[in-house]
Parts: sequence; C-alpha cells; structure tokens
Amino acid sequence: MERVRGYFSRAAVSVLGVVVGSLVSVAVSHAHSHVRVEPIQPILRNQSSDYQKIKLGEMLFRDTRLSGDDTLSCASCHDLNKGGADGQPMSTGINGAVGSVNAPTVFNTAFNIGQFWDGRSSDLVEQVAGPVHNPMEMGSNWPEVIAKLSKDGEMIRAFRRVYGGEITGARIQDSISAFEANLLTPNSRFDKFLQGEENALSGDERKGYQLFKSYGCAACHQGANVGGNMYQKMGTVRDYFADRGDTTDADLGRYNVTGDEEDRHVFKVPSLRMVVLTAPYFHDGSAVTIEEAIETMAKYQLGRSLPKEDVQLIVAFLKSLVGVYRPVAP
Amino acid sequence: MTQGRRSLLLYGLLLATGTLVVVFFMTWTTDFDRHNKTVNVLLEIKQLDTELDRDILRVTSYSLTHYDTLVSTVNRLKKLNKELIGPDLQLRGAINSEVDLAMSEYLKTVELKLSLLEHVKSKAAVLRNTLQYLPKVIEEFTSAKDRTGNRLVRRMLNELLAYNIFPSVQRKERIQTSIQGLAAWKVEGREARVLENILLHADINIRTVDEMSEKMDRYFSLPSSHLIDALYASYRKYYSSAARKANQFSLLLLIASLILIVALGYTMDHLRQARARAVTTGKQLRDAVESLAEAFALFDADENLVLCNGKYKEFLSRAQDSLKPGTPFVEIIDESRQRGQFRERIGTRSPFFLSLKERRELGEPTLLEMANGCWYLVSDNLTSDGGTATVCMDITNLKVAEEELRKLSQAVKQSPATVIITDLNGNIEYVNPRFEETTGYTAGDVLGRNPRFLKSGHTSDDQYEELWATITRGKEWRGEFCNKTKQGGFYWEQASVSPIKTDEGQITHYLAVKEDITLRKAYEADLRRSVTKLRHSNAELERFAYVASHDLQEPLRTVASYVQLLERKYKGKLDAEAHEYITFAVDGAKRMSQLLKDLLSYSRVSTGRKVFTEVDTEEALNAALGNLGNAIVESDAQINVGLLPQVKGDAVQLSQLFQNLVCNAIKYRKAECSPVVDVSAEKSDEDWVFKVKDNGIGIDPNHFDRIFTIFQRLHLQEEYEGTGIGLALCERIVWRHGGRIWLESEPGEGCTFYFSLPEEWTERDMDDDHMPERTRPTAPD
Repeated sequence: MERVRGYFSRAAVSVLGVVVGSLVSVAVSHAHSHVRVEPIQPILRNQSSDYQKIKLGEMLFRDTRLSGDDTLSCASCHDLNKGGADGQPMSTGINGAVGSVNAPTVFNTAFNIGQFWDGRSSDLVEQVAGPVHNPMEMGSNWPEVIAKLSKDGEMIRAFRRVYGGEITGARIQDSISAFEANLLTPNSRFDKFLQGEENALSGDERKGYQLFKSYGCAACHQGANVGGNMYQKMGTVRDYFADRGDTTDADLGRYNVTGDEEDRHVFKVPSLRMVVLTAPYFHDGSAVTIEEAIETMAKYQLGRSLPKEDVQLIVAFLKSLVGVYRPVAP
Repeated sequence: MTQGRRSLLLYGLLLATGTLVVVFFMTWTTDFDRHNKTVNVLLEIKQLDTELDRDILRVTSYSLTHYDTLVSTVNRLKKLNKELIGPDLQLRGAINSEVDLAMSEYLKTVELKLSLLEHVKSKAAVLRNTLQYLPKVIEEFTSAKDRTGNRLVRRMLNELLAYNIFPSVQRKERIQTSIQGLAAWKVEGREARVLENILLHADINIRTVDEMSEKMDRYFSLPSSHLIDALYASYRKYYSSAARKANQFSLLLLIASLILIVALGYTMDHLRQARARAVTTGKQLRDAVESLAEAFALFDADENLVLCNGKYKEFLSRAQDSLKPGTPFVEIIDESRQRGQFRERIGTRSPFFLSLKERRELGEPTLLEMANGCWYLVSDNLTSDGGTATVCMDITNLKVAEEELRKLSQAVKQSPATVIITDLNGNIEYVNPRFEETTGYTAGDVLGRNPRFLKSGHTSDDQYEELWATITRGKEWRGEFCNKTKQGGFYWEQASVSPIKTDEGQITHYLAVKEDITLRKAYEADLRRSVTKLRHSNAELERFAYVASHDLQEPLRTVASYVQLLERKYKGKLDAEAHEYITFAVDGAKRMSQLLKDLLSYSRVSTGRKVFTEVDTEEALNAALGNLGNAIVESDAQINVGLLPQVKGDAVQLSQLFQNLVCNAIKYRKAECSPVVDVSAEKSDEDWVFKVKDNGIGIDPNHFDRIFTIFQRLHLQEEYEGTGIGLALCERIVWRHGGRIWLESEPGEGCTFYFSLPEEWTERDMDDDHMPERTRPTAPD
C-alpha cells in the first residue's frame, strides 16, 4: 500500500501533464532553440568524420569478398539507391538462402536504440559482424574474409594507412560502422519546416503531419529518426499474429534476445525517414504498399481504421521526410 | 675487508635493490589519473542514474515529446557501465571482492532498470494513445441521443481517468463494474461497434496502467543509487587504504634509497681502493715483465695483445706501431712479415706463424730465425684465463756456439792428426776417424777403454809418468810415442797431450792430438846419415884444398925459383926462344902460385876464420886501397869514399872484400877513360848496404849469375888477367857475415856492386850453410 500511495503522487503529476500538455499549444517554443517543439526532430549532421576510415568502410561495404562465395556485399541488401534496403520482402543470402526478416534501411541507423529488428546489437560496430557470419546471409567469417582481403595489396595499404597495421575483424567492423554512421539524410523538406521554413511543406503534408500526431503514430514514431528509439509490441491493440497466422521464430522479436515473456512479438519501432522508398514493410515484409502498412498499423497498434484520404495525407507527409545523403568529403 | 663482509654487503645491496623495486611498484597503485577517472565515471553514472529517474517520470507524465534525449542518456550510461568494467579503470577483479560484489550488484540492477525503462516507454506510448483516443471516441459515441448510454460511458471515462491518476483496487473494481455494465448494455449498429471499440481501448488502458504501475514500482524499488554509493564507498575505502599503504611504501622507498646511496658510496670507495691496488699490481707486473731478459708478450683468449715488454718490441722491431694493447696477434705477425722481420726460407713455414692456439698445441718451443741473423726460441704457455704468455729467448749466441762447435767437430773429424779424448781416469770417450785409420781399431773397439792397449813396449815408463805428472798439473805435455796397431805393426807418433779445463780451471777431460811421424822419423834418420857423410866429405875437401893450396905452393915456389935461377945463370947463353920458354914457365908458375893463394884464401874464409870483432869498414877499405896502391896509380883511378860504418865482422876478410871489388872496378875499366870508383854505405832496416860503383865496361845482366861462380870468367886471360875466384870469394865472405851481394849493370854503362851487412850478426856456421841465392834482390831504397 505504501508503494501504491507513493505512486499516486507520481501518476497525478503525469496525468496532469497530459491534460496541461493537450491544452497548451504545441507551438510554444523553447527560448534557446529555433526548432519547433515537435515529436519529430531534424537530422543534424554532427557526426565526426574520419575521411580515410569512412572511405575504407565504404569500400568494404561494397566488397563481395565479405561473403562466403564472393557474391554478396553489404550493399547487395542495403542498396543506397533503394533507400538503403533491397525492395524484397525477405532478403536472399548466399546460395539462394532466403532470410527470415525484411531488410531494414541502412540510412540513419546511427540514431537507433539498437540494431536489427529485435535490437540484439547495441551498436553498429557489433551489428557489422552479424550478417557476415549468418549462414543465411553472407555466410562467412573473419579469418576467411581477412585471408581474401590480405591478397589485395591496395586493401593492405588502405588498412595500414587508416590503422597503421594489418587487417583484423575488429578493424573491418570499425571502418564499416564508421561509414554507416555517416549514412545520414538531412535537409528533408520536413526538417526545413521544423527549422522554421513554413513553406517547406504543402498544406496536405502539413495536414498529414497533424493526422500523424493526432492518430497517435507519433507516440512511437518520434525523434530525429521518426522511430528507432524505442521498442513496441507488434499488435498492442489487436493480435496481429493471430490474424496473420504461420508464426515463425523471427516473429517472437525481442523475446529471442531477452527471454522475457513481456517481450514476445516486441520489435524495435522502425524509422520512417526513408519509409516511402523501402517497400515492402514490417519485419515480415507483409505490407506491399505504404498505404497498406499505414492501415495495418492503425488497425493493430491504434485499434482504429483510417479514412482513405487521411491515409493519403499521411503518405504525403511521410514523403516529406526523405532527406539527402551526401557522402563525406575529404 | 674480509670475504664474508663483502658478500654480506652484496646481499644487503641486492635486498635493498629488490625492496626498492617492489616498493616502487607498490607506490604505483596510487595512479592519480586513473583514480580521478574512476571517480569521474562513478559520479557521472550517479548523475545519469538520477537523470533517468527524472526522465522516467517525464515519460510517465507524457511531458517528453520524443525519446531521443532519453536514448542518448541511456547510451551514455551504457557506455560508462562498459568503461566501469573495462581495462582502463582496473576496477573489476583487480581490487578486492567487496568492490567486485558492489559492482556486479550495481550492473545487474542497472540492467534491470534499463529493461524496465524500455518497457515503461512502450507502455507509456500505448497509454498515451488510449488516453488521447478515448475522449475522442466517447465524444463520437455520446453525440448520439441515448442519454443513459452517454452517462454510463462518461462515468466510465471519468472513473478511468481517475484510475489513471490514482490507481487503486476500489477504483479498479468500480471501473470494471462500469465496463461490465456497458458491455451488457444493448446497442445496435454503428454504435455497437463504437462501444465495442471504447471498451477495447478502456480495457487496454486499464491493463497497461496496471502493467506500467507494476513496472514503475519495480523501477523505483531498485536501489541503483545506493548501489552506486556503495560501489563508490568501497572503492574509496580501498583507495584510501591503498594511498595510506603507498605513503608507507614511499617512506620505505626513501629509506631503501638512502641505504643504497650509503652502500653505493661504500662500494665506490671499496672499488676505488681495489682499483688502486689493481693499478699497483699492474705496474708491478709491467715492471717485472719489463725487467725480463727475454722478450715477453701476453695475449688474451681472443689472441689480442694485452701487454709486452721492451725486449719484445726489439724482437718485433719492424712492427713497433702495431704493438699496442688490443691488436690481434695475426695482425702483428703479418705486419712483421711484410716488413721483413724474419728470415723465411722458401718452401718451409715456421710454426711461429701459426695461431697462438695451434702453437700451444704443438707442445714444444718454436725456433725462429730473424732477418738480422738472430735466433729466437719461442715458447707459449696457456694462462689461467685462456690467454697465452709468449716468451722469446734470444739464443743467437747458443746458435753461433753450436755452429762453432759443428765446425770444430768437423775439423777434428777431418784432421790428419789422431785425436783422442779421455775422461779423468784415462778412459776413451772420443776418437776421430784418423785414429781408426792409424791404429786399425774402430771407435766401437776403443770407447771406454784405457789407451794403454796401444803400448808397444818401446816407450819408457818414465815417459808415461812424466806425461801423467804434467797433464794432471794442468800443463801440456809433448813427446813421442812408439805405439802398436791392431795388426801388431809399430808406428811413431808425435803427441800433444793436454787437459781440457772449464773456465774455472777444473779439469774435465784429457785431449791427445797425435801425429803419425813414422815416415818423418825414417827421413830424419836418412838425412842425419847424409849430413854426417857430407860433413866428412866437406872436411876432407877443405883439408884437401888447404893442403893442395898450401902444400902445392912449396914445390911450385921451388919450380919458379929454379926456373928464375936458371934464367939468371944462363942469361945470354941461351937463345931467345929458350928465354921465352923460361918466361912462360915463370909466368905459369906465378899464375899457379896466385891461383893457389886465391884458392887458399877462398878456403880460409871458413877454415881460417877469426872471431868477429867491431870493425871500422873505412879502415878495412883503406887497407884494401893500400894494397892496390900500384894499380890505382897506374890506372890513374879516382876513388871516392863516403861515410862508412862500424860493423861486426872479420876485418881481414872485409878488407879482402873491398880489395876484390875495387880491384875489379879498376881492372875492367874502359880503355878511353880513367876509372872512377865510388864507395859508400847506407842504412836500410837492420842492415848496412854498401855500394861500390864504377864507370867501367859493365856486365850483361845475362851473366849476373855466372860471375859469382868459382873459376868462372867472362873474358880471355889475354884481355883481363884473373883467376876467377875473386867474386866467388866476395860472395862467400858476405854470406859468412849474414849479408847478401848483388849488382846492377848494363854493358858499357859501368856497374854497381852492392852488399849488405847486418849491424849485429853472429857468424853463420859454414858447415850448415847452403849456397846463397844469387838472384837479384829487391833493390834497396
């Protein structure tokens, strides 16, 4: 009872906060910032850049020798021209193996709370090793990769230049992750809007954004990456997997990482920054179009159904989120 | 300082050094940078923990519009947690179990806390949406006309909001009652669907509130802040004790350093003394080496020169420049060789040019010949430290002596004389080959034996006694032996037997050198016999000459007297022819008489001699000139006399000598002019050289020999009268006086007779004499 009473005071504050928050205009801005107080934040290019290392990372990112049969590179499934993904429901690994989840975009991943759908890697460095070692993906290992790369004089020189030494697994991970950390898409029209350019968005887009917030999408899809900074259960309101059927191990989501019953079907909330470019959607690639994905989300996460025109307005808003990737200059 | 004290000091030093090192590392535990970093990390963790507690309240109060800041806080905390267990801070597993325990407690808790935070984030999002949506959908529902339904729904919403603010069991029961009431309420069509949606969201809301409140309870029950404090406290505890220890160790460090400094000073003083001793010892060694009579050099184990003395520098004088400590032996030798220090014979290589090690292994000294003819004996000895001590002894004298000995030995071997060497007992130690030839005994036969086996019995015992008496006194004995050969034949030997003495006069051996004189003995005997015979016949002959010349004079005088008497008595009675005959007979008798006179004086030179006295040669000349008075006057001769000396001799004979020479000078004068005779004398060395010079007809040098022969004449009796004895007599007289006679002349140029007389002379025994040389002597100066 003590605990319950102690919580009351905190809960009271929180509910009061909701009430006050909904009453006070969201347009109130902080005195020391030009950015609107919005759930979505602009992408600011503030990553430190080591040109040589990033260049090496890009070379490795595009290097098929990182796969067991020299057919696939990181870029095979994370095509920078396709929004950082591959456009397939499930990616195809070496020897035609089909993966268990949809390939997420490689853009803006630096903002994510963790990597992979289930967040099993806490950062990009750790993540790099995953696909390389996964037999369903690149199906290789560091000794094999290093042996192949060590025959390449250019590669040896590049490593010596950047690290002052030989090729190691840790150095490959470091350089690729440095490259990936700089795969950012700033300067979207929406970011310009956030930074005070009222005319950066059309009326529909602005309407779409209002709907995005009022429907509650922004409860999860917020922050600079419009998602990626929290976990959520797939089907908070209705049971998505019961309706879909044929559940797989991958559908268990974060449960596979923590073993916590409460993490069953919990996934990292994906970023919506490049979402209009990366169909199909969801971890199972089941939503073929963006509209379908919005409708599915509304149904299972919000317990609502959206009018078609609202969906179109939201799509219009989502399109304004796409920014521009500029490779790091020397 | 004793050995014990020294080793004690050494152990002390080692101990102090060890302590120093250990203590030094102990003081390292107080790494202030790391400590500061650790404290900073712990403080920042504490701060972030507090921030999280604040942020989770902002999450649950929906005052966070997005989670980016929260995520960065969480990421920062995760990073710090990693640092906490990372190798930089050396906290986990490096300090003590208390810290480890506090840390693992904290990490476990913070992990749980972050996991709860994630769940709260999810729940809050759901709650936020239900709380936003429910009023809207209820608005939509209550816009219908059903008042009861509206009231029920609104009440449910109020109860729900109240429950959200103040969740309690009673409120929950109340709201569940409301929900059940609504669920039982019959509505139709679109409203039914809306109601169902309201109830669904309400249910989710209630469930999520419960779940979140449960999470929040658990979250705030986690004592993460205390655990951080505990970790910090245990770390502080460790650190202050470590710092205290470090201080103590610093003190120890100071003490150990002081001990080391003192010990170092002591050791340095000791080393200084040891060095002084070493220097003294080194000097003594050098002086000792320098004072050696032999060339000496010391090489280390790598055959580099350590030291050498002056004699060694003389020994290798041409490589002086390289004779410095540290120079390899090979280099020194190569340089000496190049500069021609040694006499090297083609085809042979002296062992001296091997390496020192090889030379040592030969095990015997090396003989070396130098270019200057010196000989060295080089011996090498291993020193205790593996080096080589080389001693080079100058054995040139020895070598020369050996050579000398070899030559002498060869001389003895090839000597025509017999050589015997015996020991002090007279036992033979050596005989030369000549001995073997002479005696027929081989060396093997006689070595070790007494030479008395050679006795023939013809040598008297007295002689042997005298021999032994002489040589044992250390004197040389000379004498003759008659000895016997192996074959039994006799032979004569002239022996010289002498003792062989050491420098101190000690007799060590006896040496007999013997010459075989058997043949000589025989010749001597022959000669003696011949001489005796010759003397006899000479005496007879002289006697005959004397008798002939003296006794024949008497009858001749009788013949002459009576022929002259006959002439006087029968003067005028006999015819001219008879007178002429008588004159012939008288002349013949006169000449005969003159001949006999001359002959007599010739023979009297030896037989009628007088004892030599002091003779004034001028008087002798004057006597001669007196005798020649007539001849001088008749021929109108001019006689020039120089200064003449006094000599020892026979005055009559010397007068005779002058008389004959002056007489000849007048007699063989040229027809056209009167004779001029110069007589003079000159001193030459020990002799007086007399000169009788004329201006006469001269003599052909071809006849110089003949003119001194008795009865030899160059001219006819009719031309120049004479007996042919004059010059023979002159020669005989000069010779008797120990001088010589010779002449210089050319035909028509006059002639000069010279004769020499020694100042002091004991007369020659005319018996022993041989006819003197008449060859022309070297002209006196």
